[in-house]
Amino acid sequence: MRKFWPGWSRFGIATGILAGGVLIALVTGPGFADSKKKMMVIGFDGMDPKQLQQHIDNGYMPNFKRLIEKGSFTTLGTSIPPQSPVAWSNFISGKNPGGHNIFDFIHRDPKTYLPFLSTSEAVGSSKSIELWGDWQLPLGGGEVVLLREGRAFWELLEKAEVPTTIFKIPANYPPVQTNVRTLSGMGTPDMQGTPGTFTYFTTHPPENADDISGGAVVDIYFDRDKSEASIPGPPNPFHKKGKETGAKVTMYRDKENQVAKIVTGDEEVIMKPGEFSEWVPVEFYMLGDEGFGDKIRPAAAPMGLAIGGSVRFYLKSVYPEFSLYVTPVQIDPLKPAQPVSTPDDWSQKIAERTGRFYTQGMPEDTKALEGGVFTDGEFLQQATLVLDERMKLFETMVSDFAQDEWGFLFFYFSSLDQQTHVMWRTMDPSHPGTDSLALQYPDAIPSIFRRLDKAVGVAMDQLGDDATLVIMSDHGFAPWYREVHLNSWLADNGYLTLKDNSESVRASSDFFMNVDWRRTKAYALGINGLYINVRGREKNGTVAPGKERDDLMNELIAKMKELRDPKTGELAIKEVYKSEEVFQGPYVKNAPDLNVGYAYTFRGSNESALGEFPMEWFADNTGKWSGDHCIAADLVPGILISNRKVKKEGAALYDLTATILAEFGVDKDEDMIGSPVF
Amino acid sequence: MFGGPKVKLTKDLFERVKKYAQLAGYSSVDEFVVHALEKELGGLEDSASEEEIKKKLQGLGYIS
Amino acid sequence: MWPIVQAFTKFFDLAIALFQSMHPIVGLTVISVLTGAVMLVVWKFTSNQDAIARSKSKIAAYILEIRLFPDDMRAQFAAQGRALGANFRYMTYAIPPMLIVLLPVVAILVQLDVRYQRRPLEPGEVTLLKVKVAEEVDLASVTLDAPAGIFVETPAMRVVAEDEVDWRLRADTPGEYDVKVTAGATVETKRIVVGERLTKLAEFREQSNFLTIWMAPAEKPLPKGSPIHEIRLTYPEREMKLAGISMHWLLVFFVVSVLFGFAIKGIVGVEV
Repeated sequence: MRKFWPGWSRFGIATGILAGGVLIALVTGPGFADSKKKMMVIGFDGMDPKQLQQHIDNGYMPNFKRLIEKGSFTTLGTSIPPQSPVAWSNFISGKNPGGHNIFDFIHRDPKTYLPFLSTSEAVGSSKSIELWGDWQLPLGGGEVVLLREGRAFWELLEKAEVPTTIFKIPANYPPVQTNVRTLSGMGTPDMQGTPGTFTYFTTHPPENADDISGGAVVDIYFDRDKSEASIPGPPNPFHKKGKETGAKVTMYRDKENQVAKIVTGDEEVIMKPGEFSEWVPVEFYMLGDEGFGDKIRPAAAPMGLAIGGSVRFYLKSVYPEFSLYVTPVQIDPLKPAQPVSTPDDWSQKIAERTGRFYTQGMPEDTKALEGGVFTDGEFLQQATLVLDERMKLFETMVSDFAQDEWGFLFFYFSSLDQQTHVMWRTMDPSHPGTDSLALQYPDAIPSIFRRLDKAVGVAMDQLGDDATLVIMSDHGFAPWYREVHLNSWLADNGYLTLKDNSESVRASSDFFMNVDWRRTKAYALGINGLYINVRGREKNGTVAPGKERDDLMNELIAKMKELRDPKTGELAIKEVYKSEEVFQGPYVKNAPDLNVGYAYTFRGSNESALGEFPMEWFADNTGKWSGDHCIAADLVPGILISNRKVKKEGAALYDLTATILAEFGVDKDEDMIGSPVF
Repeated sequence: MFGGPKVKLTKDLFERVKKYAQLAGYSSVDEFVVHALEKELGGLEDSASEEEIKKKLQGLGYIS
Repeated sequence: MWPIVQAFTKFFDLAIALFQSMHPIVGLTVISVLTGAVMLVVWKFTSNQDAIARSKSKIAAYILEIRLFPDDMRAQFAAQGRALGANFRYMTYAIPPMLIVLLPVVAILVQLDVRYQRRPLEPGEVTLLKVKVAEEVDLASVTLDAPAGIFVETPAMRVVAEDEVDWRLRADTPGEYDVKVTAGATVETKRIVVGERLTKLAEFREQSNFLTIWMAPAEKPLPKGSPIHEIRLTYPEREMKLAGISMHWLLVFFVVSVLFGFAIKGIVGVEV
């Protein structure tokens, strides 16, 4: 026995080494990634470097300070134009708009001149069988397609087998098909297919009810303290004209005790005025009206005849007037009617741990505030719910990530951007849209900074110093005092011809319906876009491509840069960028010919963006939407903070893409334009 | 066709329509005009209705 | 009848208490196994075992006959007819004892349902308490008193159209509480359980008869003729997970009890 021992031993050592090797290979996986690092990027939409510095100086931001002391704080070059879907697409693709095809929140169809939301498109079910009357049997559901082009950086990480999680990144709905865990963010619609449409049941409709956008006001009455109504839902695919479905809701009120009960399906909530409910699932039935729907309810869902969503209620008042706000109907993360995540069931897995959450891309209901349905206080209450929910999700994601050995995590916060848009007036007494009521909330924005600082603290403490932590924003912020009706200026300077130039028609017709295209050379569409009416490209193009177009562009640029606000004498437009000069890639052909970079405190007006033509060229912005960033890109850079030293000068969004890939030793695509910042 | 509403065309356009209707093998000018209008209308009707566009755009906070 | 129901319930309380510290599925499995055994015993003594054995062997013989004469159509048809007849006789022997077995099984299922279908409230969770009263009761006289540990979050929500008064409650600390519902001169209580324990939960108290009383064994029925008709409280559904897979208690019960019954029928010599 003893004799053989040495031999066995050698054999043993050899097998041991072999097994160990196999074990290491198994543990480390067959990945191509060179380095097993850990990296987290937190995206704070709209975090402005100047504001941030001010809050740090005030001592509000201990965790930011701590992080900056370890590494760096610098500005981050934003996109042209500095709009979130464009900026985040730069980050996602590592390219500029010429490479990813997103140029503005709003694009246009050159064949109809009609505007549409730029990031996704709904394609209806193509085939159906005719039934009786207005009914049909759809064969296959409709489809929504993402219009962003260019490969997302996480697709490259996936190929290299880097464990990756992408939480709520904008401009990724429907989510790019991948095995990486992703949850879609800005651009994710509500169940009606809009960016967000609330419902407001009230016995006392406001006078401006018809003008309220982004929401439906429903006039209700009570009989024996009971009222029945319906929450509007998705269009019915069984109806030829896509009639809107509805979820029946019954409201009871106790006038004396000032309390109400809301019933929908099997769900019941009791609320006091000033309260938000938890998330409540709602169901929409495809066959017949709600009365019929009730009878077939148990059978409808399994047969695919019911679609679920989820809402939160806010009870504004009970008596003498009853008013109930219902959030836009969310795609329910627990039972998504359309996937909002990859893998499809990931949203469900998250919601099982944290409870339901907003899936809508821009959940802060600025529309309800602008329409007067929410007071400032009520809006802040709703926006705080959004942030509370996001914080909970953040803590869950970070603590999961802290357990992982390596990988990449991106997490997105919308709060600062959406609230700064509508709350700028609370901290700026010289804003034309402010008033004494607004100035009662001077802490609205600073308080968000403080909460986001806590998030940074959580990430730092959980991940430790070994992980690379990057805090970034897509753009900064500016006050918006003056609206520029750029299309009116184009019309009054002979570049655009109106069919009817009378004041009444100019003010009332929208979507360019009043434009005589055959006598129009240029039109502004979207928030920063300006298009030349090019022959062969636009339906009724008048300007020949080539020299005629070039001359016209140069003339427009020169003139626009001289445009002064009569009120202050200031120049309204700081830069005008030619797409062919600032963008590279195959999609430049789809870009607006010019991108208008407004000066500080100016922005293109809503009217102009929607193809209306007020008589004046300028107006005071007296709306609640009082801060903005859709101006010249160099005026509103974002932030870049890391626990590592940033070496690159003038880093921009697409450089971060290159940085992430380099961190994991993954080769970037050849047409990605950035380079690593560390 | 008989008794339906009538549409006026300039003589020049009518002549052009007539020429291409024959070239394209339509049995009559009427048939060609009806076909062309149907085709154009189909395209317009397929694109999202103005109301729908409005609803979607106005849900966007950036535009009110 | 209530004392009998109570005694029966008590038996389950004790059985469940034995497995309180373990995964809920342990107690459920043990009860399912015992039920399987009980079903078999009840079956043995309520069915005509000889007749069942006879009809089963006849069915087997006719099936054999069908296999033996594959070419003889007439023999085939005759055998098939006889097999059907035997099968029918088997059914007539099996159905009466089956119905008898069903009764205790339903009673057991109800006992399991009040324990496994729903779970107690967790601290911080909210629920609704709903009281239905007789038409003549003035809803303004209906009040609620909750002990410390249960917080009443809203004033009374009186639904005149339904003779109903509702409240929203929040569970604060683990424990078993009785809230007091008053309607005029009548006072009744409702049990609310907060915490993680596996215990019987009553979703409602109502005025029962001798049959429905078996269906709501977790809390004493309301006295007959009381102006309070019903007190209802919603508990969250219990999710039972084993190795990450969620399974319904009813499925576990049927699979375990039936498998066990079949497994031991040979050993104890019962014809099924």
